[in-house]
Formats: sequence, structure tokens, C-alpha cells
Amino acid sequence: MITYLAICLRRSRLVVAIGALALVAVGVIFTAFFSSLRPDRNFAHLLDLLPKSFRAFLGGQYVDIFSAHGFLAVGYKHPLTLLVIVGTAIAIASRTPAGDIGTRAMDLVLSHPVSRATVILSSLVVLWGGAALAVGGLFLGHRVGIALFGLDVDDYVTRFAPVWLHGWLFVGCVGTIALAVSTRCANRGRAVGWAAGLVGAFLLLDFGAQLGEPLAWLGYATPFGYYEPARIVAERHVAWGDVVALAVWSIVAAVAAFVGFARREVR
Amino acid sequence: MSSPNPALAIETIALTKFYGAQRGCEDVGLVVERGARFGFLGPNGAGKTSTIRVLLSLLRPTSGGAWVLGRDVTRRDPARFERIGFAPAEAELFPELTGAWILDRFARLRRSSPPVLRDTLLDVLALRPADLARRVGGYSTGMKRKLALVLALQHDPELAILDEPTSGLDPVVQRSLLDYLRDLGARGRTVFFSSHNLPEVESVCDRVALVFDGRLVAQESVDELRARSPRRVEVTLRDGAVVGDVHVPGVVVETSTPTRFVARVVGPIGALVRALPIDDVIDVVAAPPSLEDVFFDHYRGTEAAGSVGA
Repeated sequence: MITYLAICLRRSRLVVAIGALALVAVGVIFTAFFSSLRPDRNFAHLLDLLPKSFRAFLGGQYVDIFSAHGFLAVGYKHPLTLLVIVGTAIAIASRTPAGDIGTRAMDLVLSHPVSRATVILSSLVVLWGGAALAVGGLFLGHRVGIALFGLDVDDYVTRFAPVWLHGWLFVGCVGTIALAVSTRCANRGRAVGWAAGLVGAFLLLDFGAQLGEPLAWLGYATPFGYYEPARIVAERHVAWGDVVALAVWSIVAAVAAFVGFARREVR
Repeated sequence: MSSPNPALAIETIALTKFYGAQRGCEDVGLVVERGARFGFLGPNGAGKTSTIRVLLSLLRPTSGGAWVLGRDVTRRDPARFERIGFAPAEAELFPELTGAWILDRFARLRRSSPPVLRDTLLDVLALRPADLARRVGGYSTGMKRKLALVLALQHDPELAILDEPTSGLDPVVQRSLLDYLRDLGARGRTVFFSSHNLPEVESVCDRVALVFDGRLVAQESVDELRARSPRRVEVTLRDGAVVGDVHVPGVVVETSTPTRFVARVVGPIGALVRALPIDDVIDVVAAPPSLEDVFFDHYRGTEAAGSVGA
């Protein structure tokens, strides 16, 4: 297990490093952007131009988006951030097993004393470790930006640590769903396509849930519905209900990945 | 289901694999004794790789049974790969890692089988340390194949399953590998060698199985197969010789001119020689059938049977 895990870790280090560094950059850019807006609140009217559902998606109902805390909290669910962290998770999840099946490298792996459960378990470890580093990159980027641009967010670490935890769980959850998809695909391209499509559908469900009370139940059907960084920043504590929900989603997806790969034929 | 004969390296009984309606292999019954050098011959798409993938538990058989080193392949047991080595026909190894790192880490996956033959194999396959220090992404097809072969054989496996092992290798390395595989068999290791390259199988294997269109059509020693197969006999006659119709059992005349006579003969050629005007015979050349002749003889037979059936 340890040796195979070492192989997986080494193979994924570049993807994880690029994802984490990209998120450091995103974090710095957010703080830089906020520091340029801060003296002039006239930009606030731009917010009114955004669709109500999009403002709700970002968490506008919980925080003042043009406060420092609110702006940085929104950064954790901004489409650019989501694109990078979900992209990193899907890149890791689609490599093994789907990518290795497509290149026949999986034939070599499984003709060694490596069980299929070990393959999935190692992928999960890489995935969740990568998720921690990727979200940590954004956390670090904000810290660097706060120091560079002198933002007044002294309590960033204590106030945003629960956001990092939720972010980690959310990215891990999405990555585990992508891994379950990967176990059923014949190559990496298909795994990326199906996982991206599924995540896109989840995102649309979350947008749909913001459209009005009658559709609010849609939020329960998507992991995005349990990831509200702005609410965590506003309430200053971990939303344990969301943590449990994301954990349940992750466990179900992980079981699907184990069963899916154990049952599939490696053609 | 336990193996009827655990002493065998590979045994399949009525092994069948379908992919939906598409046939991979059907009713394959292989018997590979331990220590044998066994050739698994067939044209591309004949079902060789499907059979191998079932043996490695990568695919589940649709019906029938298969046992490798006495263990049922449907019971996935990764520990058995301590004693088995496999080189696939084509595999893109991890491009982001170096060859040396891959060899080292994959060797560690087999805890009880250290890579005792690695240096020998690197020598046989002409893989230099400088090659191994490079990332596999920069390797040529032949280099990737060499690396896969080292991975398959470095732990001196009891059973080596090699799918088209020489494809992509240059002729010098091919010859060196075939010599090595002969030695491996001589040391009591079982080599299961899939190929559509007949001369190389002939040079390494003592037993062969021929597979066409998913079905096994022959399985015996190379010598037995040759003895049952027609030899090509060419007779050169003096000018003016008269050759009548040759009606000898087991002899099929292919071409006949006043001075040259070519026939395919099964069994001893004495009856054919007696039927010729012996005083006019200048030369008789009776070449033993090559495995290639055997292969195509079966191939023609199978195609003919298929067309009759159709």
C-alpha cells in the first residue's frame, strides 16, 4: 500500500503543486483587487447588476461583499476559484484509474501484488491531500495579500480556518465523486468529460436553488449546497450540519468508487 | 472452483469471453505445464489478448474456468503476482517518472521477490543507466517495451506471461531477448509467449497453441505439429521424363511441369518417391514444415471451414 501510494503521490505532485500555486495567485489577486476598490464604494452598485441568484450563490445574503471579510469569503466560492480547485480535483481523480486504464499502465499495476482496493485508497489519499493543499493555497494567498496590501483583517486565520475546513471537505467531496466516475471510464478524456459535466450539473442545481423558495430544495441535491463560505465567515463557526452532509456525500462516492472499480473489467 | 490439476502453470477449461455480442475467445482449453516454453499463436484479433487478460484477472470469463499456478483467476488474489510477471503488448508507462524510479518502486511492490535479474535484463535489452535516468515520457516505443519487459521479468517469476514481447524492439535486441527466454525456460521457468510472429515462437517454444477467430484449433508440441503438417516436396526431373498422374494418399500436387514437380505431403514421402520414374529423378528436396507452414495450413483449414459453414 505504502509503495503504491508513493508512486501515486509522486505522479500527482506536479498537478497538486500547480493547483496550489494557482490558488495562491488567486488569493493574492483577490486581496489586490479589494485593496484597489476599498477607498471607493461606488463600485457597490455593480453588485446590484448581478442576478440575485448569483449574489446568493456567492453568499451575498450573509456578508457585505464589499467588506474585507465578505470579499475574501466570496473568494472561496468565486467561479475562478471553483474552476481551479475543481479542475485540480478532477485532474487527480481522472488520472487513476481511468487514465491508467486508457494507457494500459493499469495492466502493469494490477499484474503486481496490488489490490484494486489499494488503487482506489491511494487515489483517495492523494486526492484529499491535494485538496487540503489546494485550498490551503488560497488561504496562504489571502494571507500573503493581506500582508502585502495592508488589509484590515487581523483575525483572518481564526475566522477563515473553518472556511478552509469546509473548502477542503467540499473539494475532497467533488474529487471523490470524480473518482467514482473515473472508475467507470475507459480513459482519462472520458473521465474528465463526465466528471466536469456532473460538477456542472451540481453547480446548476445550486444556482436553481437560489432562484426562489419553491426551488430551495435543489440545494440539498448538490454538494455546492453545503458549501457556504460567506455564512461561515458571518457566523464565525464551523457549520457542522454541512460538514456532516459533505462527509456523507464523500463516503457514498468513495464506496461507489471502491465497488465500481472492484466490479469493472479492465479492457 | 479449484484447479483440476494444480501442478500446471496454466489451465483453462472451455474458457469463453464475450464483450456483449462480440467474441473475445470461445471454448479455449489450454494446458501449460510448469517449466514449458509455450507459444500462443494467432493473427491479430484472434483472441490471444482476451485470453491473457482473463488469466490476469483483468477480465471475468463469461463461462468456463481458468487457473494460473493452481489458483482460480476469478478469485482475485494479488499475492499470486509475487510469482508471475506480465508484459503487455502495449503500455504507456507513467511519463512523469524516470525509468529507474519506476523499476525500483515496482520492484518494492513485490516484497518477497527481489529484482535479482534486473541487471542481467538491462544488459540483455541494452537499457543503459543514462536511459533509465530519463523520464519515460521521452522514451521511444522500443524503450517503453524494454522497460515493461524488465518490470515483468526482474523478479525471476515462476511464470512469465509475455504479450507480443518483441514488437517494437530492434532485431539485435529481439534476438538477445529470445535467447534469454530460452534460457529462462531451461532454468525451469514457465514462459507463456503470445505472438503472431511465427519464427520467433518457433525459436523459443517447445509447445504451441494456435488460435483463430477466438477458438483454439491446435495445441501440441512444435515437433508433433510439424509431423502432422504437410511438407513441401520439390522433385526435379531430367528433360524428356514422363510423369503420369500421381495418385498417392497424403500427397497433393501443387504444380507439375515436365521437369519440375511440387507436392504437399503428409507423412513419409516414400510412397511419392516410388510413384515417380526413379531413373529420371535428378533431385528431391523435402523441407521439414516450418511453423509458418503449419500456421497457414491451419489458417486455410479454418477459413475453409468457416466459409463452408457460412
